[in-house]
Amino acid sequence: MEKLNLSYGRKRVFKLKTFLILLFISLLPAVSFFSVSYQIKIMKISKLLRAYPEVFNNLSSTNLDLIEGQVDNLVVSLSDKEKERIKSNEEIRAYIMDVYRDTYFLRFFFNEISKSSNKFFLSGVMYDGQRFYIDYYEYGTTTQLSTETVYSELGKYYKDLTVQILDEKNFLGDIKYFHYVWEGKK
Amino acid sequence: MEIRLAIFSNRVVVYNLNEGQASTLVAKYRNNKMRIKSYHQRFVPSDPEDMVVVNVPWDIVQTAFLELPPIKKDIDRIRVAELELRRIYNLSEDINVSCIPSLFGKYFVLFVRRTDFIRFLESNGLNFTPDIAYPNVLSELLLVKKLPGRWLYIVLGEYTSGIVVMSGNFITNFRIIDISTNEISHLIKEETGFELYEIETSGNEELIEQSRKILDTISSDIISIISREIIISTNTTELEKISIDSIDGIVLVSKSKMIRDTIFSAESDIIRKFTDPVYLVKIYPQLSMSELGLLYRGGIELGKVKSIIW
Repeated sequence: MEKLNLSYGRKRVFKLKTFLILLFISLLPAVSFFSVSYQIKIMKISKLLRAYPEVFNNLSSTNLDLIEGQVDNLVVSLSDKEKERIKSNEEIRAYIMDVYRDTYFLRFFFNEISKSSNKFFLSGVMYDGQRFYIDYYEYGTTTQLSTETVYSELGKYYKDLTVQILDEKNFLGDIKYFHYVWEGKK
Repeated sequence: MEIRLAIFSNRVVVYNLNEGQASTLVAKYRNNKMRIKSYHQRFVPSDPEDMVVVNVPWDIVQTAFLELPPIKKDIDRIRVAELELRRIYNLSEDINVSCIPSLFGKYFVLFVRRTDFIRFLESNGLNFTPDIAYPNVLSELLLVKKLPGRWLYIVLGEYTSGIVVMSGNFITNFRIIDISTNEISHLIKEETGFELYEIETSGNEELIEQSRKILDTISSDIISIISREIIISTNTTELEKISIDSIDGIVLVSKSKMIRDTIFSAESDIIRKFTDPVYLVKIYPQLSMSELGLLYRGGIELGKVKSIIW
């Protein structure tokens, strides 16, 4: 008796208003998710900006959409600067080395002769900015300046290095003199 | 602007249409409870999303007891019943059919001609098909607890009355009887100037006494009609052989206490078998029982109805 119904089927319809309200409600989670994630993004970006003021104080605008582009630009410009600095570093280094080599051969020579107990007579030094030429006489029983040492030390900095004994003569008693010539190119 | 999410609130609108008069009852169904929102003594348009329940008068309804083969699906059973009815009654037009299971494999089948149904709806201002159409008398009976055994239920409605012979929950016979409580109320109104319902609820001793006297004069008529119809009903029950002695009792369903008292006061063997109904929900005197019954039927469509609250 409870199921009795003398009416034939009725189409169940939904009002447009109900449909729109349901649509709105179903879109709410998506919209809220996106707005929350946008808020979190902004929070994190602000935190980053505050944490690295040295880098970000040079930002021209605070529009959060352009930040990504600006950060990329910053990275590029900073890496350019880095390359520049490295280059100038290299140049300075090269320059220092260059200047060092202008006088190193002499300092080395004086260092060596002061270590030695023999007497030395420097007869001539020539340097034109590229090539050096040392001409000296060593007086002693034996030569105490080892050519290997000279080659190994000066060879680090100079090219076309030659150490020649031009002459070896007895001088007085068993004292000899050795006529050395050093040549080299920067 | 109140945003009504009709899809969640299950509104039920009941139209009680009788003899050109209409009334609208609006309620919301939630949690097995029907909550009445408003009641109007006129036709109030409904929302397209509401569940609409309408009564059907017996002048367009026909019934039959048919033997139908056991079929699982209701739709198929209705189709078979429709074919059977067309064959028996030689019908060619569209009909709306509904079946109530009865005893011994038979079904109590009710049908209306679709044209009659549409004409009935349109003449009362309804230009759409309702969700549920439920006939008078049976709507009142829906609110009464069905007792086990063989019982007669005499429903005295405002416009239509009937006798329903039942065995437990199954209808075995149905008869319309020629009593209308509205007519009785008109009689009383002619004499006292007030309707029976008004007098009953007023508590005015003088009017009540006056009405009682009027009812006494017509009580013998009423009782003789009822007794005759009871005998005819028991004799014409074809599904099983019953007699006045074999039935367990007769339940008198009437909203008017005075009419009930008048009938119960008569001395007769049949009247001795009369008893009061047990209602499944609270009966509100402002509403007619058929309106409450239709509301109950609307609620059943949505789930169980444990109570009706106003």
